[in-house]
Amino acid sequence: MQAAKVQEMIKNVIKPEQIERYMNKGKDFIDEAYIDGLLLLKKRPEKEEIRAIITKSLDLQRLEPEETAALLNCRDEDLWQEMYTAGLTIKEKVYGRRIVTFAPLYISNHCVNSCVYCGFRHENKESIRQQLNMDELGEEIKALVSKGHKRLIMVYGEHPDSGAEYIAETLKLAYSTKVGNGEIRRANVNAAPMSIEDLRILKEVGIGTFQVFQETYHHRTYQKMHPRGVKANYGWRLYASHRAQEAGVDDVGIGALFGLYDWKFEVMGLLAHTIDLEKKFGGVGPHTISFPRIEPAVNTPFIEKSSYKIDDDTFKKLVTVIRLSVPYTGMILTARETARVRQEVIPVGISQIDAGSNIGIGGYAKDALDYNRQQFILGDNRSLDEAVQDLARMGKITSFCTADYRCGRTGNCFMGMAKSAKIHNLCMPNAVLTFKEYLLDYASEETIKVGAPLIEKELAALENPAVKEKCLEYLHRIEAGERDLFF
Amino acid sequence: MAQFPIIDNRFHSKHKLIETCHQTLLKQYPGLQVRWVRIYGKRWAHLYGDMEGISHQSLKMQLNPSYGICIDNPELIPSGDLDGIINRLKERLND
Repeated sequence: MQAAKVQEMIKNVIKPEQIERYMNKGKDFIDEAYIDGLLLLKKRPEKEEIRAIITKSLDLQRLEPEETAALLNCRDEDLWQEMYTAGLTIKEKVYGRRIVTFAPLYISNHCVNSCVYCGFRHENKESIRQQLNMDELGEEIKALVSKGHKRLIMVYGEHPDSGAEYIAETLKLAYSTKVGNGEIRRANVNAAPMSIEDLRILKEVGIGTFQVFQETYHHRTYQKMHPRGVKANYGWRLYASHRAQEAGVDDVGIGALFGLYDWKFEVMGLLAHTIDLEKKFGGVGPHTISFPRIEPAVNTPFIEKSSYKIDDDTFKKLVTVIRLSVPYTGMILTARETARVRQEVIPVGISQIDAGSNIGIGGYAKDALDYNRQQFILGDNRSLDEAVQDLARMGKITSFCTADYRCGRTGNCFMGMAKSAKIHNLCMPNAVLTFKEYLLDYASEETIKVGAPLIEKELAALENPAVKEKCLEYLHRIEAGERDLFF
Repeated sequence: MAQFPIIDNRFHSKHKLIETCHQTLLKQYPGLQVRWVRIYGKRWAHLYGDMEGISHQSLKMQLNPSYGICIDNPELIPSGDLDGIINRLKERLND
């Protein structure tokens, strides 16, 4: 019965016309010969060229593919240091010193796909399968809210039981759950590519960002990595964000899984994806870009064998190039990476991280690790409080802000403000306010000790006296018990 | 290159009405920064209007279950007028 349901799904889910409508003369936007040619053409970039490109990035202009190719091929370590510094400058110019924090919430690991690198692949008999029912999901959300989370990325396997209607119900539950002063204020979704019609269902219930990673942009590698199932269709996945935009879900997240193919090619693919979205949707590219590296997973030998795995130094470089290439877009660094790597890479331009993450299905309520229910194994198992504290020691204020998408600052409106470096004028006061809420309601004594002076520092740093005054008034009201005050 | 509508409801008849209301407000109060939104649960999706204004005194009003308005500089509207304008907008959008 279940097998028939899966076969039916594979047959019906893909709508070829919802791929073809976005193609350029029958071709997708990943022109491999063009990308390879640029990487070859820019094999030995001159110092002056690299410095001119850095200047363009600092001016918050999106780079052209040949410029990104030049950065990727830079071999001068001094120039890399300049790029790291530029990455931080750009990020702070656009978003300020805040780091937005969220939690991943895995809801189902039933999956019809056969991704060779993934612990959830259909054939993996050692993976314990579970889909949370609404009671179990409610417990997970309560556990997350009780720790102080305000923003989630809800993750679902590709399976007929995780269709748009089910996802919509889980979103409604996330938004309606309250514990004390806490609540989820923005629920993002990482799920299988959907049709425009299904995406409209998610839009109606208030989805935050819709996130789909292409995994690899290299066509042949994609086919090898995804030999069967719905995911074997490269084009259906490639245009998932286009369909989301057309459905009115105007904040989309893209990503590549590094370690499947050449890292330089994947960065060029992410840029091509950004450019195509911007061209087709009035300048609105991805709201966020993610760049996970493949990590060990239970009974998944491919990961050990991959020859495209990258070391930490290369990882830092690729993150830097993405920051310089798309200066105004949010960039997410997840807890796949160790705390040490995250502390090293955050300063080159990261704007969002997850913290206190447990990616086992039902893991938060149990408060335990269960590798057989996980897609892969996390590198950073710090609690939210520990991560917040460590960020504060780095001089970074943790933001739980979700104001933009609750004030009409979505899609082209958000992007316009980011591109003109105005959004930090809202990000920083909102970071101060949400951080204050966290310190009052959830933080440990030690975190309060490190965090309170940071609030004073960031309040003092607000340039506009009227904003400072209003922020101060809001802080007093938060101390008096009000919550969810924002600009 | 083809351009696709970001928000499908842009071509809904309500959108024409919103455009007209927007222009009327701007004519009456030059420099007013107004942003119209389509409400989907917690999500207030940008629909029409100002995309540049950064305000710290923004007025956010729900006009009916589906539409809302954000005015970034409501101080440009005399306080006596504001309630009347919001009420009229609510009436028009509920017609």
